[in-house]
Amino acid sequence: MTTLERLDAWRAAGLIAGSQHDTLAALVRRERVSVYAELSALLYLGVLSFAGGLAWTFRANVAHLGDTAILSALLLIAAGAISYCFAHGQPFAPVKVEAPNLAFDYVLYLGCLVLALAAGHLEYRFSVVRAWHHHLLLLSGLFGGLAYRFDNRFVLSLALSSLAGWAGLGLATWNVASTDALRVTALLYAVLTAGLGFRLYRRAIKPHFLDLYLHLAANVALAAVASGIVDAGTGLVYLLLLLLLCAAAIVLGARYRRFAFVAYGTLYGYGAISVRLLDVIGGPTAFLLYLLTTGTVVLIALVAMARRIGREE
Amino acid sequence: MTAYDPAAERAVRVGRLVDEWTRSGLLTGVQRDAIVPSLAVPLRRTNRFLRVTLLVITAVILQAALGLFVVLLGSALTAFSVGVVCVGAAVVFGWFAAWLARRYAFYRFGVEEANAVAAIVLATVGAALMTSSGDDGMVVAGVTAGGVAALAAYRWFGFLYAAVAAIACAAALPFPLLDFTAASRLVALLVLAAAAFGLRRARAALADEFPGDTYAVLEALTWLGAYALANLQISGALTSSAPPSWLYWSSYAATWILPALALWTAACGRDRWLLRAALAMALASIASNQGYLGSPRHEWDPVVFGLLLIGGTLAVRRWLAAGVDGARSGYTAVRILASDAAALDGLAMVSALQTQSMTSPATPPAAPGIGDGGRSGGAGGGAAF
Repeated sequence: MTTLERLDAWRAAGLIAGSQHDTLAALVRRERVSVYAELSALLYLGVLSFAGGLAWTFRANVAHLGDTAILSALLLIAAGAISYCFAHGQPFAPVKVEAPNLAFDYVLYLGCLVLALAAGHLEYRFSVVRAWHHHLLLLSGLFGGLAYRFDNRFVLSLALSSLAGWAGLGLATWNVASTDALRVTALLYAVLTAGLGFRLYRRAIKPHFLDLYLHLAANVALAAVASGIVDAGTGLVYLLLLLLLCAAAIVLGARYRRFAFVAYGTLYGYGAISVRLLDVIGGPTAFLLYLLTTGTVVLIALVAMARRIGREE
Repeated sequence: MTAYDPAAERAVRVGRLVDEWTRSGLLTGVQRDAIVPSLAVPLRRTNRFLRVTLLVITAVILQAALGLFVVLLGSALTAFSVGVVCVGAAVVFGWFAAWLARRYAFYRFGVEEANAVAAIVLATVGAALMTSSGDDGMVVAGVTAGGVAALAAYRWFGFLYAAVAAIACAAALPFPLLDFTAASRLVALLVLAAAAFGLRRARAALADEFPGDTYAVLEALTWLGAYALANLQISGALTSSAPPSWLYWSSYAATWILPALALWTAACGRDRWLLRAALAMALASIASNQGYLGSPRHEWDPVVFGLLLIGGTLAVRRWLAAGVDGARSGYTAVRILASDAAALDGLAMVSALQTQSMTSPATPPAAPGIGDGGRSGGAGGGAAF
């Protein structure tokens, strides 16, 4: 039975109205096709390319253009974009607010990116805040406010990544300096992020943003702790902490049907224990046996969970 | 010949559509609950997160089992005997995947997928190790065996990625057979063109009904593969010698003709996957244009590229919005389905990683202080920049 035949049957059985049948049949027959996602993706790419190109151009030509010209141009673009959003945006509401047009979200995103470039340039050249990274904290607050004002996930991502940058949690950092201090900072960042997300969720202020907070917090916390499990001395402490976090992720993920967190907990937890045991178990045969047996146990548990609660979403 | 009843697979897809329509507000929850029982199928499924986790854990188990077997066999194994073990394991894992699908009705459940993927990989590696006729001979044997195994996995389980692997193997085969010459590139292009044509014909009567939906994605990916082969800036390293002049400029022409042709075909058939492929090709052509022409790259190129993208996109949106009911020829810029918004939410999450480098200066300031070293007004030659 084809989809169209099913639609006809549902209408005949009174399960759907005639108007619904016509709308859905038009979608199935491709009589109406939305290119919203494609246009949005192109706008996103365009904004990233434009902002990245501006940064590159101004860095390469700072001697020719001068700081005044560069800052004026950047601030003019940022001010234009952000004032456009204030002029054309919907009033603030704590629930989800649709953008007035396709480009709106990307105009705000562009304004925030260019403002970040301006702040970075100002700080780089003149050290206004005296510690080069503190401007990221200011930007994070500003972007967070704008993200909530205009219901913009891209800008919220920018706010949270700026906050991570301020805390010294840039991606490159993990490769060069996995120190205890950095891990503690990462954990604090994760707690702060998750706590803020929950607090706003409980107050019903843009509750649909919660997932973004939780995914970011979970990954930062788990990656930070996982990076410490092979350290001499403190490795066992990190392992225990990681297992606690993984257990929490699995239990809460299963309870609230957020299966991405079950996946995080399972993979980080199993990976961490295995890496740790690699040093303890002597010889490849024993380790392969370990993987075979424990992997099977984990697999059976996962299959049981999938059959019980993890049906297709 | 397939492990699953096609009617059940069609019902699974309609079930997904019903969920999507409900999330998009086109059906109510009550209507969904009334419809869903009629779409029940005897297949065991799970959500994508558990599916990936099950796949990873099963892959670990299979790797450990095979490793253990090889370790127990001892250290006197030759490349040929390891190849035999790999091929044997491929047969066992493939059979086990089919058994799981038949006995437990696993459908996109991760476990049977890991077994099928392992069978494809092991068939490729095993066949290559069993061949002793030089490097090219090993590649030919491996790619052939891998392609056949992938095709079998697609035919039996319907895995999209298995079909992609089978087509990729078919397109890769001419390269070692024809010594990585320009002719091998042309034959590979012909293979992909034949695949795209065959897929288009196969789905002509199906439209988006299963398996037409899979064919649509495959066709778009085949176009992308053909484009990547045609664009020497992307795949120039695949052939051993510098391309002759006629091939170079034919390739340059193809980088513009292929996206235009794909865009036209997609627009006429309202084919969203091919449209996406056409857009990706067009972007790649713009990006590789300077490389073809040997023009110097400028730091402001991304600015121009970005403006072009933004301007072009806004123009298309306005043009579509100005049509009757905000649509032209069936196309609209208005969001209809919730999945489009969900895809952008995912993009927003990824953008947190992408943009961090842009918002942070690469290094701390070399020397603080306004006016230090005469930086403003274009006299900053001696500054950190």
